[in-house]
Amino acid sequence: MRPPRAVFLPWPLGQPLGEPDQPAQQRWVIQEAFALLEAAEGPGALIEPDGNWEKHSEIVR
Amino acid sequence: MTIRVLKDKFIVRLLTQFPFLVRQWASRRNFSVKGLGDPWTPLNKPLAECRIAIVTTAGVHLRSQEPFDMKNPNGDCTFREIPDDVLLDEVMITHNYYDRRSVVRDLNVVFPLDRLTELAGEGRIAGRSPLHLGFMGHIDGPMVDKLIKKTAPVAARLLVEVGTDCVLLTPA
Repeated sequence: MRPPRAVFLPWPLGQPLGEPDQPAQQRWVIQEAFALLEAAEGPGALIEPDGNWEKHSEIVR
Repeated sequence: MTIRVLKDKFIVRLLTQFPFLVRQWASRRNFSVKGLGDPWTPLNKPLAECRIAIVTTAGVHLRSQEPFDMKNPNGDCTFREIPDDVLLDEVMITHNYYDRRSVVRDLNVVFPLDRLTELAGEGRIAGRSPLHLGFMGHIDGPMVDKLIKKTAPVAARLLVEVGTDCVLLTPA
């Protein structure tokens, strides 16, 4: 059984929406999910957006 | 702290440090359920008119509620109701199978109430559902059948009854 719509990001366990105290990063994930919600035409829709961890982080490394 | 808890903590740290191990574990599992197709309900109105509920499997629940059962080797398929006006200090996590340090620091990592508030303020969604749900994602063996036949239908009905239009499902 597949989920009706899914966004997959290869991020660490315990951080599905991103890093703590990183609202922009978290919002980006949710927006990707909402975009899929609006666009998907059938079950099993799975997208893997550009999930480069550091690209979406505001933390200076 | 029991040996089992220590073992679980070690495995969690290992999987956090080496995410490819999670992929390997998942690739060996069979998640299909005989006789069931993929669930699907089309979005029948603009997202800007929708109230969103968070359903998380990260073990989030109220401190006043019974914690999830971490002793059953097949896990726990029950859920906890989390009212939308919950205060941060009313919430806790019961889940032994992921690194909880980020969630403890910022609940939005798995339960993004603040993010949904912001998106509602921008008009992206109508608002948050008055009710959200917490599950604990370790559900295996006979618990899977119980989840499908009993728990999930009850959970879905509850959310619909309070005016939820869509669910944002977040894993741990």
